Amino acid sequence: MELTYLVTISDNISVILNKTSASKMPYWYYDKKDLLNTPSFRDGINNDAENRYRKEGARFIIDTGSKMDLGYNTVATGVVYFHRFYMFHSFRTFPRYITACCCLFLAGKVEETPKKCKDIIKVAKSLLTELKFASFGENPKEEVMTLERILLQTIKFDFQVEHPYGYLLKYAKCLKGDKTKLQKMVQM
Amino acid sequence: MEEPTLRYEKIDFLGEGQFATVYKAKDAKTDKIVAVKKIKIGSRLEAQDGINRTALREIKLLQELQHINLIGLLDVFGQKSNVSLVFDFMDTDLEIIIKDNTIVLTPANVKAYMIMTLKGLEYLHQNWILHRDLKPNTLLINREGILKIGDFGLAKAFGSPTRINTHQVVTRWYRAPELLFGARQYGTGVDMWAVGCILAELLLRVPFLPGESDLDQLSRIFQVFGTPTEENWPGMKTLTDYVQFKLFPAQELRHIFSAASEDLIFLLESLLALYPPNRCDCTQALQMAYFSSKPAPSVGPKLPMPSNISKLEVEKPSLKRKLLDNIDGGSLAKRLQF
Repeated sequence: MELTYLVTISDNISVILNKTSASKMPYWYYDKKDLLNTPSFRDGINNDAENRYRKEGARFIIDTGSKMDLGYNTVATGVVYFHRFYMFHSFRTFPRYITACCCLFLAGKVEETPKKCKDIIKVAKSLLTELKFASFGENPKEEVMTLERILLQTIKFDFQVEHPYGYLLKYAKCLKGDKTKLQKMVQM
Repeated sequence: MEEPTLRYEKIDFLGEGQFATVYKAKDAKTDKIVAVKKIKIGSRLEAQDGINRTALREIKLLQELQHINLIGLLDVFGQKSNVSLVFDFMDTDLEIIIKDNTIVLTPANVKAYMIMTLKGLEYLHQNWILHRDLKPNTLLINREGILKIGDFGLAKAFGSPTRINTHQVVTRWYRAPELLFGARQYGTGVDMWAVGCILAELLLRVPFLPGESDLDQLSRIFQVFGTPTEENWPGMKTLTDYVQFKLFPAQELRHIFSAASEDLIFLLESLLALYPPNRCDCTQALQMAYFSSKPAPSVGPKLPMPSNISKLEVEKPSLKRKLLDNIDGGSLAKRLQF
């Protein structure tokens, strides 16, 4: 049992090493000061407002995804794309709910749980106020499709996102102790 | 960042598929010849839902993989209305070579193709990826005689034992019996079966099991290997599309492949075992006697090329190498260029 864990861990390390040595892959970690000096901030949106937009966008992806029975991985991938997108663009140029739809749309395809663009839009419409949905314009599907091309280039075609959930569950199963406490720990 | 359209200078049109157009181009930055695959998006908006999923899979998987026997994805770039993938340029593929009756394939050639295929596939499987579409025309070959597995449009990560997959993968002639019976949970065995069919085709120079329908495919398989029973394939009858077949007796492979050596027959039998768990994996295959016995596999530049492709200048062997060749045909380790 312990042996297999060692193997998987060392395998992961070699994967990480490979990834960084193949310098062409983009690097998605930022310094604290970069995280404050975002395109939106430079565009006159203060950090608190941006954080709120990010939170709302992420929450919206989770809600839309859950309503469409998409798994945690797909939804989480969409949220990661969303955050990465706004490291290059301002919330003023790209309204958050349409970007969120686009991120979920792409994540669905990448994670092999595809949803039709028009279905995502339908669910989005049901979750948003009329005022918020107005940002989708005359032809929402066309808007999302066009944005997809921008999204692809912005995230530099780096689609693969590894999530901690699977590992967390595995470790939670290995640990012994109070069930409710463990559950709380994993839920964090 | 330079303008990608300027970086890749179109030289030639190579072909057009359902989802993409492929051009031969020169990379102005490196002077390398590359293949640019332009994915069609934006066209026929109704039929498609944004960027094509096969293209997404290729990008996602190939970005993280690097092996001499896998096609290299060198770059991806997007323009206003489309996305392009830049690959290693490959001169030909195994289908063209097999079909070219001016080419003689020696046992050493066949062994070289098999080693390169299995090495690439071994790496793929070690990274938990199934190719799911192996056939002679997805095994690409360049003029240096290096074979690279290409076309990852159907490839997929595997590993979760509960994961449901589609069985509509792999071109029919190379499709494993469990897929034809509608299995939704399968593993590396589907790729191994395809490799077995490709090996058989290298020997016969015609497709080994050219079924005309899915049922005909199974019937052809069973006519060679015998109709499986609940004893030698437990659980077969529980597969979704299982149908009862006439009971064919198994044939001796050595009668079909009369020129093949004993160790080659053994490899074929291990690749083409009907019951998936009995099929060998790449690592096991590469350790078989066939790969260490004579003749040694041909080195890349000595592999045949279609006549319209000028071969890479073969260096005159040094006297020392000539002597070595004469003594024992060259040792395996020295001849392999990996």
